Amino acid sequence: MTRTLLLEDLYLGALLTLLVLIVVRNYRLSVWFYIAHSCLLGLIYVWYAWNMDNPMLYIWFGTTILSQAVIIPFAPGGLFYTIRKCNATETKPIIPLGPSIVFAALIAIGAWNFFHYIIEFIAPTPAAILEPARSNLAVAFTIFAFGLYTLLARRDAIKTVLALCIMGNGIDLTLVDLTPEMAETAILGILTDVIISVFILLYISRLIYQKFGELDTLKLSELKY
Amino acid sequence: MKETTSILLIAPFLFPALASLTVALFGRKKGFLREGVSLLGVFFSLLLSCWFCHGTIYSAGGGRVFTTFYRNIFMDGFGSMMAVLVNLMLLLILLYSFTHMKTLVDEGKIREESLRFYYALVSAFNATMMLTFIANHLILFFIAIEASTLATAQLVGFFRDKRSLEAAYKYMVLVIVGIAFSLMGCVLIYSASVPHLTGVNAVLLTEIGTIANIIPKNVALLAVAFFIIGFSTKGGLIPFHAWLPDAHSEAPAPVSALLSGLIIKIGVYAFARTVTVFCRHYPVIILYVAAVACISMLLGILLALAQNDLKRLLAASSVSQISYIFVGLAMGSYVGIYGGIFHLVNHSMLKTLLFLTAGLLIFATKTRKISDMGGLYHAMPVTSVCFFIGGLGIAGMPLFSGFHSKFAIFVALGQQQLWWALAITVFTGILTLSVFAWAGSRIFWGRPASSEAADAVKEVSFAMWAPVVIIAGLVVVIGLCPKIIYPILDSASQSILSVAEGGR
Repeated sequence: MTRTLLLEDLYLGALLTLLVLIVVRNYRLSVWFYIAHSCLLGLIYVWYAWNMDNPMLYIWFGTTILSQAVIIPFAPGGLFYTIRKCNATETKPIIPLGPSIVFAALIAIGAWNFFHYIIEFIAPTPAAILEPARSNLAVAFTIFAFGLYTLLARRDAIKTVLALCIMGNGIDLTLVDLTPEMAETAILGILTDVIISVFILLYISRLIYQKFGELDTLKLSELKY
Repeated sequence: MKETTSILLIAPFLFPALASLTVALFGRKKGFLREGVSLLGVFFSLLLSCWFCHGTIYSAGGGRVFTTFYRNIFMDGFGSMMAVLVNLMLLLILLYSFTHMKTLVDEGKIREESLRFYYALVSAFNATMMLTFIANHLILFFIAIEASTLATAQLVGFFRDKRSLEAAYKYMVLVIVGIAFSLMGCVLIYSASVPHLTGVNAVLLTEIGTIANIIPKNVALLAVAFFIIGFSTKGGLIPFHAWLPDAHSEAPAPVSALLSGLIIKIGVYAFARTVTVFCRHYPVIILYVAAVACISMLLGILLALAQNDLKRLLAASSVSQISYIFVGLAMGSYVGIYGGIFHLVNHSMLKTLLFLTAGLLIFATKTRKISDMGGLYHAMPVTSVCFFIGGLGIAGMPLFSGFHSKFAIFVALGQQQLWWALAITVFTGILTLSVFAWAGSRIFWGRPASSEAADAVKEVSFAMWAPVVIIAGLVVVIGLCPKIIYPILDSASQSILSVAEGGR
């Protein structure tokens, strides 16, 4: 039982660090929280690897830490590099802080209720109806939805890139929560973590900053319908 | 269905990949190491795919499938047909780009050094396309789709000006989000099928048919909804189309042709491999896709009617035409799939033809606005004939190739008794004809904006129009005698159906 509690704490920690990284407008702080979030993600894989006796998940832990917490933030052309080259503070978002938190809470409560009361309707596996899978599924889905929300509500290019990473993490958590006992799960998770897309997007963002002088995607309005 | 193990299957992927690497490393100067190597990569890939295509069709006692690496890599009729089509179009697009990109350098729009990246990226794109068609492993498949986006994003933003960078940014963000959605669908399918299949088989594309009606109905529908969002973003159906007109219009002409003729077909290919399989078991999907695609085809052609920019007009028409393919494939019947695939082939050739023709027109007149062109028929006879062949083909006029494929889709819609959808598809066809008739008459017979500008226009050189004329010739031949490609289309349709029925 205590073991399950630990897992739920990890999921909750991942969710809270995510919330901070989304609402904070200081990019350095935001990226540090992203690193913390990725480390928690890695620990979740370790928990599953330990308890489900699936050693492949340790490798996934390694690649997640390497790619999300080291390469994406620190590599040349990565997040910190782009922040240094462009702006360290995010452009004012479309939806400000207060309503953002209300929306986030609504998404979380909605997902929680959905996965606790209506999950039988679409549960892909029999285990998904039971604890702890359904609580964790709720959190994973919330993370995916937060990513989508960030994509829609924030107008800065770097935040958009972070949002894409977050959506990917939500998918990974769903995957590991639904089938933690399969070795293929880890392969699936490792290979779909395409970090090149992040680097190319950041490269295009830097070019946009050079041409437009800012990273506000709402100002990208040269092309209309 | 017979299986032949052949390690050669990875060669159509390896040749362009090696060519890309060589060009990226050594292609500093014009010549063999740049243009020659990229052309050779496509050419060898084309030869091999032709060989595989022949092997899948003409084998004793019906279709054959080539596999290797424990069925993780495979090629059936559909995959080999796509490989031949893509390589053939890419070969012609490359031939066209040799002169086109050189003129862009001469005009000072791009630097000579960046040509190296152009050819390297086109070859890399070719490699990712081939990887998509040989992948049977779901993850390999997704990586290939993602990689094709990454390879072309730089090509869309090739001019590095404000407009093209904006287009590239939109393209990347939207398509990556779309792919994330379809990955979510893939995770659902995978987790639902794990109890029914052993782990290794749960991630094979060809096994989806066997579990399509075993897994819980609502999971299947949810996953299909995610797939439809993802693949129609890649394909450019209307609620998810925002990237398409921008990316198509801001890229260099050969890249526009590549995007419209080849890239959006990846969305269609993935759709045929996944959603079509489910359509046979859940009729509600047929209705849903038909509704989305009908809205998309009507709004797409209305968008085209409102355009004054030639490339944006063609892009909007792509949105409309790709919907025909989605409708056909969603029907799940033989005629529907046959029509969808036939239209896929036609649209690929016709849109390549039209975008390359548009490139010639823009090169000759130095403008993209239809209202600034006019009276070009006498100055550019070859180009005008090619444009009309493309326009009439897209509109589905009898004696042109588009007619046969659209007619098959009409028949499939009639079989499903979706009369409203049939009415919309026919009406869209008429609108398409009017769009191209208007644009064609304005460009070639209309009054020129100024007489000096009209006098300065000359027909482009042979090296530029020759690849375009080859595609136009192909279109005419297929239109007059569709029988010659029937065996390929038949084998492709049969292979999709056999996967849907559980991969026998």
